[in-house]
Amino acid sequence: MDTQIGKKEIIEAVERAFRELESQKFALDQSAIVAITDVKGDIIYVNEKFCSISKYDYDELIGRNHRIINSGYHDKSFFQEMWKTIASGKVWKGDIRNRAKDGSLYWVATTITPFKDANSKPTMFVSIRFDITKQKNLEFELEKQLKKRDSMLVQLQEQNKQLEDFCHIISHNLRAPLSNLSMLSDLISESEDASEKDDYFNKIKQVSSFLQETFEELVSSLQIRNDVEVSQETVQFEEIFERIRIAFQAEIDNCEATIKTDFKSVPEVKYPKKYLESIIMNIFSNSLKYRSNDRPTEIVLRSYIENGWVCLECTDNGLGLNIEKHGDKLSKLRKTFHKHPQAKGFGLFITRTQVESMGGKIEVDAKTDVYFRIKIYLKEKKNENHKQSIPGR
Amino acid sequence: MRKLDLAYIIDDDEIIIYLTDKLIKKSDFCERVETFTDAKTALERLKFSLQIGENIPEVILFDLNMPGLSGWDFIEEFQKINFEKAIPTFIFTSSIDPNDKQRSYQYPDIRDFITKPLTRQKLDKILRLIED
Repeated sequence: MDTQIGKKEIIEAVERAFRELESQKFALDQSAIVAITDVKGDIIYVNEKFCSISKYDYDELIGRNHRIINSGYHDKSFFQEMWKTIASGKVWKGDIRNRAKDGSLYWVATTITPFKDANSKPTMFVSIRFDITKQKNLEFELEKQLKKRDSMLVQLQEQNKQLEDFCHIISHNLRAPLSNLSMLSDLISESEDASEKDDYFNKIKQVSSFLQETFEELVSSLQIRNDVEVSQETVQFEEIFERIRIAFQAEIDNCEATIKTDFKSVPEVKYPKKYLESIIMNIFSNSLKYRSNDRPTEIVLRSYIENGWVCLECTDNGLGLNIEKHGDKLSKLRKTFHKHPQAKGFGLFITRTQVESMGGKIEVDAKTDVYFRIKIYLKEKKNENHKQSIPGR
Repeated sequence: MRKLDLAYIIDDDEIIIYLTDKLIKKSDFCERVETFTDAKTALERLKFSLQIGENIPEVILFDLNMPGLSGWDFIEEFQKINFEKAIPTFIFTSSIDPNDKQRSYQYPDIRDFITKPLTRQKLDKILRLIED
C-alpha cells in the first residue's frame, strides 16, 4: 500500500491548481466586471474592467465603500433586499444602475456570491457583473415607444369615433333636405296650377336656405378640428350671455320664457371667446327650441367650480330627451338633437367638439317632463391661475 | 287596389308633413290624411276617435327620431290600445339603420320601413303590403 505522497507530487498538484485558478481568473477578468468587498461592503478587490467602467483608479476604490458608485436610481428597499439575501449566505442576482466617476450612468447585470467561513458565515462578497447599458437603453426606448404607440392608438380611436359621428351627422342632416328637394321637384313637374307651383318654389327656397345653413355649420365644425391653437382671453359670462339674450329676445318674448342667470361665483373664464359664445348660444337656443308647451318655460344658466373645474350649466324644464331610457347619453343626444323642425342639430355636436378640443367634457342629466340639464366642464381651475385680470388695469 | 279611407302621418319635420300630405292627396292612396308633428297628439287623437266611434286610420306612417315621444315610444303605447282590427304601421325614415331594423321585428304591428322621400311607387308598395 502506498500511503505516502511525495513532497514533489504535492508541490506539483498545488502548482497545477494554482495555474488553473490563474487561467480561470484571467478568463473571468477578460469578460466580467469583478469586485470583492468585505461584509460591510468596503472594497477589497476590483479588476481592470471594474475600473474602466466606473472610471475610478484602482487606488481610489480600494478601501472605499461600494456605495461610491451608487446612482441613487434604486430605492432603499432594493438594496435592503440585496443585503438581506447575501448576508444570509445566499446568491443575489439583479440589474443595477451605477454611476461612474464622471457622472455617467451604466447598467450592470449583477451576481453577488458570498464567500463563507467554516461556520457558513459570509466573510466577503464577490460580485460578478456584465455591462448591459445598451440593452437597458434599448429596453427603455422600446417601452417609451410602446407608451407613445398606445397613446397614439387611443387618440386615433377617439378621432375615428368622431369621424364616424361626423359622417353619421352629415348623412342624416343632408339627407332630409335633399329628399325634400327631390319631392318638391317631383310635385312641381306634376303640378299645372300656377299658384300651387309658386307655393312649391317658396318651399324650395326654405329648404335650400336650410341646406345652406346646414352646410355652413358643417364647415364651421370642421374648422374647430383645424384650430390647433386658438387664442384664449378672459371672458365674462354675463357679457357674452347678454348679447345672446338680445339676439333671442323675440323668441324669449314669444314663449314668455323666464331666464335666470347666476355667474357670481365664477364671473369669468380664460377661454377662446368665439368658442364660449358658440357654446352658450347653442345650449341656450336648444333650451328654447325644446321647450315644453305644457308649462311655462324657465331657463337657468349658472357658472361655478366643481372638483376644480370651471363648470357652466344650463337647466330648463322643457322636453329634453329621455335619458333614463337610453344609457349612452351623448350618442343619444346626437340622435335626438340632430333632428328637429328648426334645428339642424349640429349645435350640440359643435359644442361637444369645441369643449373636447379644450380638454373639457359635457354631462347631461334629465328627468322626462320635469327638467333637462346640460353641464359643461370648461376647464380646470389650476390652468387658469396666472394671467387672470390684473388689478388696477 | 282598394283606395284607403284614412291615413295618419307622424313626423316632426313640417316640410316632410307638408310634402307628404300633398303627394298623398294627389295620388289614389287614400281619401283623407291626418298629419301630426308629434306622436303624443297622434295617440290622443287615435284614442279619442276610438272612444267616440269615429273612423280610425287604416295605415300609420311614423318617424323614429322625434323630440318628446320617439317613434319607439309611440309604437310601445300604440300596442297597448285594443283595436277590433289591426292597423298596419310603417316606419317612415330618412335612412334605415340596421339596429332599428332588428328592433322593429319585435313589434308585429310594424309592417316595413319606408324611406324618405315618399313617392307614388312607395305608396303603391304600401297598398300592396296592406292587402297581403
